[in-house]
Amino acid sequence: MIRRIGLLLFLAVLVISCSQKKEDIVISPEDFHESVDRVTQVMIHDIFSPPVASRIFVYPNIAAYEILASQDNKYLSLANQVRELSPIPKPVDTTSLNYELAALVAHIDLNKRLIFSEERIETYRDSLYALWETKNRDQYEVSKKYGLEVAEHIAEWMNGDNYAQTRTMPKFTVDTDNPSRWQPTPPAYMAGIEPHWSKIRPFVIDSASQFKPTPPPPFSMDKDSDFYKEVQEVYDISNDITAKGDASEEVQIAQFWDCNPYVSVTRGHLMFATKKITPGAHWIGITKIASRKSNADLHKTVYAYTKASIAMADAFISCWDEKYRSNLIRPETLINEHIDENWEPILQTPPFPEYTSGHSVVSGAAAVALTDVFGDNFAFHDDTEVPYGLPVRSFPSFKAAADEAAISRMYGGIHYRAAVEIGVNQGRNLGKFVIDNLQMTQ
Amino acid sequence: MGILFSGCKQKQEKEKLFKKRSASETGVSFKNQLTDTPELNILTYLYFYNGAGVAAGDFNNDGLPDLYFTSNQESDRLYLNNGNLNFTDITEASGIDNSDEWTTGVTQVDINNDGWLDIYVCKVGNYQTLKGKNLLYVNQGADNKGIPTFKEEADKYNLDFSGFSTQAAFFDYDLDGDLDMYLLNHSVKPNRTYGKGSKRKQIDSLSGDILFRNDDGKFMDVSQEAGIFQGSIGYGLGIGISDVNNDGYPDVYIGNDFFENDYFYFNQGNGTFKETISSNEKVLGHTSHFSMGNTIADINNDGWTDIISLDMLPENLETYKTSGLEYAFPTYDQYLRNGFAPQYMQNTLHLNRKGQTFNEIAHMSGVAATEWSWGALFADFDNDGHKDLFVSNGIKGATNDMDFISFIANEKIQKAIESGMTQKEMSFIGELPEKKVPNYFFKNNGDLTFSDVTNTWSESEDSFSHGCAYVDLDNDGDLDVVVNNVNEEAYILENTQKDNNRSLSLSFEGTTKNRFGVGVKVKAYIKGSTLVGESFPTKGYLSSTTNTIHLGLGKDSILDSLQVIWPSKRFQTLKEVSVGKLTLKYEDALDSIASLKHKSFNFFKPVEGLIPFAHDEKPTVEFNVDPLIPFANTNNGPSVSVADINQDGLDDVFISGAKAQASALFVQNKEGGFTQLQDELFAQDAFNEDVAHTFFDANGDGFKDLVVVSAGNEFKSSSRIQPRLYLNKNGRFVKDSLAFKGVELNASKVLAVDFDNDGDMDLTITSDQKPRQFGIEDRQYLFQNDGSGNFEDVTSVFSKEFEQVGNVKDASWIDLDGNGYTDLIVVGHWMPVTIFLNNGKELTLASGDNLENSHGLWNSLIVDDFDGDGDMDLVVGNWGLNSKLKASLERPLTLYSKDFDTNGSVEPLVTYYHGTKETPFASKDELVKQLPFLNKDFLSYKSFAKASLEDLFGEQNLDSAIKKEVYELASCYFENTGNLQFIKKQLPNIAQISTVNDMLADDFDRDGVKDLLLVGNNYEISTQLGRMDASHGIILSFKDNGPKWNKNIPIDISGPARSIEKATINNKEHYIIGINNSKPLFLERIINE
Repeated sequence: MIRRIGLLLFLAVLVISCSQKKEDIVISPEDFHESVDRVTQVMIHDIFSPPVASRIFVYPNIAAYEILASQDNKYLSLANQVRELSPIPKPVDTTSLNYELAALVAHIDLNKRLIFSEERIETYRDSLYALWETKNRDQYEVSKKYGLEVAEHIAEWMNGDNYAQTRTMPKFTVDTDNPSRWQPTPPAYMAGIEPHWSKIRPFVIDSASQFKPTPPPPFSMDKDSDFYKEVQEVYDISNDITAKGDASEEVQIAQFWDCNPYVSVTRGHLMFATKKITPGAHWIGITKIASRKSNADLHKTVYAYTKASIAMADAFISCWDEKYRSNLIRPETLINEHIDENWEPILQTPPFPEYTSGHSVVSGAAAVALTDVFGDNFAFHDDTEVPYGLPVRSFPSFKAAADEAAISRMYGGIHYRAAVEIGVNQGRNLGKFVIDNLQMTQ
Repeated sequence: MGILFSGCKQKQEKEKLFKKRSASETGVSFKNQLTDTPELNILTYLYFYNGAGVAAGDFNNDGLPDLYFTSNQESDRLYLNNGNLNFTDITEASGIDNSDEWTTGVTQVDINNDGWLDIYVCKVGNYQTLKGKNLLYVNQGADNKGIPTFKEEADKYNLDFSGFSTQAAFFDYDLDGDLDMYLLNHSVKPNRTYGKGSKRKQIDSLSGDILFRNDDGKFMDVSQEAGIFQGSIGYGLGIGISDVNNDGYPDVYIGNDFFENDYFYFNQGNGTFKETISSNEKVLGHTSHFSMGNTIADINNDGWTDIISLDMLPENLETYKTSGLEYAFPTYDQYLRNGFAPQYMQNTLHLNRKGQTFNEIAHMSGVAATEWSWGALFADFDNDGHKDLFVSNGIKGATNDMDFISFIANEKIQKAIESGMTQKEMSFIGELPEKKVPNYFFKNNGDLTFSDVTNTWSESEDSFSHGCAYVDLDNDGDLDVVVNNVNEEAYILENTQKDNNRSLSLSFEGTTKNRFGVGVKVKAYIKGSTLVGESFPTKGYLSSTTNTIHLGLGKDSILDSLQVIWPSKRFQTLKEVSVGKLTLKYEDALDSIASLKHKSFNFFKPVEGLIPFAHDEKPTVEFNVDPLIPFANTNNGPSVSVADINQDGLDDVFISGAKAQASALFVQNKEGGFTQLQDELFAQDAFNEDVAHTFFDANGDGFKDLVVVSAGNEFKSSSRIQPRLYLNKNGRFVKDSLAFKGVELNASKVLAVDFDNDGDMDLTITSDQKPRQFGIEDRQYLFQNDGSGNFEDVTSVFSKEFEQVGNVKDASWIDLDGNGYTDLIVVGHWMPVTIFLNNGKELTLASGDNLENSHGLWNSLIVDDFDGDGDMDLVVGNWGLNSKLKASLERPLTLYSKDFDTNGSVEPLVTYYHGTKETPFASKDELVKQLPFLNKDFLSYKSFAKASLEDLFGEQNLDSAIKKEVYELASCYFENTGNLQFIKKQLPNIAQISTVNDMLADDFDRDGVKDLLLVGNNYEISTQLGRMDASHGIILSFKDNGPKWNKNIPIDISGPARSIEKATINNKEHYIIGINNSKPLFLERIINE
């Protein structure tokens, strides 16, 4: 067997050396954006919840980043900076090695491992492989080999993050005796998603509870209580903006930042899911916009994606830790029970506890990371949601976008004020910690 | 040779019972053609695919039943029967003109009692672009060519309702002599958000049902005063009328689609109805969830009419696995708490137990799964005396296809995002999978089961079939079937029955206010059995049959007698009636029944309030911990122990509490009352979930001591699952804190017996599993008593085999081989019935007992000489046959325990056989949450459904898993034929309708024959299996060498019963039944006079 492979290799080398012209394979930032877009699309199809989606973004980005940083002095390896990551293996054969190509190969390979519909990634990958092979078989073979080797190294690290173990942990148990506790919400009454996400190994933060927010106002259905006032506020805002109509700024904001990967719809007798990108994917989209706008080269592009996705992955761990700690009931449940039986929020309530708002925490963290990369007051037109039938919105800065994302959850009727205000701060503090503790550039 | 040849030939030419007559033969070319329009399609009207109906009636009084078909969007058609299954379309000539808007159900009625049948048609109006009103075509009589003409006069009768009507039924609910009308309507709201059940009490004027009282020809809405629910959550699709409790007043069963309960209205006889499902869920138990049509008739010839309600459970495994399923257990629990009764996606067949309770037996009967079903007809198609079943089914667009919901629809949205809404919607519709399937025929086997005879009785063509009616179109004495199909010609299925089975067809001439005798009941007595028929023509989904009652009689050509009971309770008895046709006249019914209250013998009287104790169990969390399991093991209490603890000659009672609830001791006083004693003692261990206990004298002081064992499958170790010994010091218990140190087990039973014949009582404590490890057995215990109440674990000395015998649920000690030592019989889950023979020093496994392949999900055991031949027989209670799980030696139920995703925790994978295919029990949604790798290769529901078990989990994984099997799910009688050889016999079908959790033998009716009381039910099972609630207590009597159902001893033990004990209270015999999460039931045995 070994002899046969040897023979084939020998023949292959012979063919290459005889017939192939040598042209450098150039990997552009657009090539990397394309790979990110591909995996984002597959994630929509396969349906991943927001925390799981954040995990799918981060590992492939780190793999690509580590390869690029290993030969670019401007960037520093994350090994021993993020938890339990050891340095990637050094390449054995560097003669024809194209690090950028290897980085993209590793990115695609880890994407494939992390999603379900592998054939969708494979089709895209194989078309690239074919192209590269004709351009420069030698460079392609060597770089692919190295890229896959690094992908394997990252995968081994990734597999130690407790994701597999959390699959078999007990599903969330609804506390039916305590009126403040979260209950599944209409229309699909899905079980609470990812109750053990706080047990996922974080990247930079010390522990899931490091950025434990202050508790929300104490639960009370006393009309004078702070909590009740927040419930009433959600109801009042919702009624006000519903009266203003779908074209109102608030409704537009709510819908723009919906980012719900699985909205269950019933029309007549027809049931279906409308699927959109997750909050994390939206910020990945903003990362792309900023990279393009600032004409970032490939290395900076990957650096930006990596920093943003690390901040967001930790943000989800931190937020989910709080969600299943405070285990707070959603406005929809309380309003239906106590105020208006027929009220429906403008957005569909996602299937997990209320406090803090995931989108707020993640947006807060991502904005800090992107500001760190691209600078403050970085104005941009956000067309991330155009494929989902939503308009372009413009922002003067990442921070402004994060603030709008946070308040959108109140307009959408799925969060109280405390969850968005405290949530976005939780995200900012966490983001700050991430950028302060990661040395990614010289 | 000749025989062989003719045998073959016969097989080849075997004719189907039903022959489909083509439109060219019959002239019936009607089809219910659906056309999607931008205004009207499945997106704008949720019941766009629900089909239309048919009404059979002799509209021109020529003795031949004619047919009226409704069309949803096109023209209704009226066909005149020319005889010989030939029809003429007389729609236009007759003045029928209903061809616009949206039409649903149809029924025939003689509204003005002129002897000419009229037609009432239901429509949808007041909805979006639809403006229809219900129509009443009043028959003006036939012309000289026999063509009747009709005039639409709904408004004259106040029946021109404009709302969301499904179907109407005419019947005399208040027995004032004229026919009233129940109008079944349906909600049109999005159906997924269930909200609160209390919404059914609000009134929605368009979708709420309406009961109209006939006040001299004007129909007045009396819904509210009559107690009819009229809420916006009623998706009424099925209506059945029958006098289910034989009190003379017709009752109503309404099938509601989606999350809303069905409504079962018991007529109170005073102008009001009492809805039973929302007020007492124990009467029916669970119902169908997505209820479509229903029908009510007596399937077991006991004189009580039974109910079948149709649903959409697919028999086809691939359809099942690609369809939306029930909520998982925790969500389902929330749904119940929001004010809904238990409902599951399956046809439900409610066997009527004297109008008091019902046993839901559809799975056992074989009729639970008939695809997306619409119309049910109970009728004796082969005239053998047992009513058979026809089910129409199929749907043009299956909106519950999970791939469509999760994957296909969204891609369409993405692609069509720029195109206009209308175009986008239309493109959706094209992607909906069609479910075109054959209608079902089931033959009634006469033993509470039905056989699927679809392929032998019909040509079993695929169709989208909806409304249906049985009617003898050609007057040949057997019932033909007419079916209204979507996008295809209606079926005229001719019954070609040639088995020389006879029948009796009864027509009625009633009063001036009810000319056709709607509501008449007949009872035909023939050779000891009673055939019952009622004349309520609206049945079969959106449809109606004639007013004729048809009775199949088998080979007999003469009835012993026939009783005809008119709604006014006047009756007529005819002797020696011969087969054929007969018209019965009200004026001949000269006898009058003073009261229809039937005389019944009672043997048990429930006694309330004897002890102030109710078992209180928290909802199980086991399905959160282990979503893949078919049943939880958390709700096994309470058990009851009875003994005289203070030597006052009176029986005292100990009953176990659930987790966080102390077990309780009740001491009887001379007046037959009880006092709770020593509650502070038992409160010390309140957190233990006690499941078994027994009184015995541990230390030989003459006082009964107490041993208690705990389980609950929550605590992995700790004192919460340590057995406890309470020593009785002159009537007061003291806990022996030294006993059972270090012994911790999830226990199932504790038994006291002197197994070493040394004169003191030893103990056996069994375990059904390791805590929180589904199906993994723990060790069993034998404790030897040193005579003074000190117990030593001698299991390994006495029997290593017993120590590791399996998941033990029950055990019994009795000397089987007559050597003077008690032998041990153990039963349990995933294990055979197992006998250990005792020689005083060790227990050895018996061999040659024929029990080696008796692996079951055994719950309970009773040992007695049931057949009176001098040796001990066994009755063993099992899971039962009333669920979709089936098991045999060739096709077992299997548990594979293995860490399939190598993440450090073991998954319990349970499989069963669906037909010949072994398939995982857990749904795809549950499996992929535990094992996400499955989504890599089987993301679509279709690919998952098609995959074999090996495809999914890998042959190597399955081979290396710990494997346990079950070959028998029936509760069985093991008859000892001598020499400890046992013959297994299934208990009668009625004993298979639920789990059997405990048994007690006695002679309840004092007839000298041994009776056996079986109690059971289990609510903590996967929602994909439904709920085991069909048992209301079953009594078997050991007559003629085998156990038979004894229907003459009525008993009502509803709910999840766990245990039975006998006690003498106030000098009377009582049975105490421990019921999970409920008060115990005390039944006093009473003597009939």
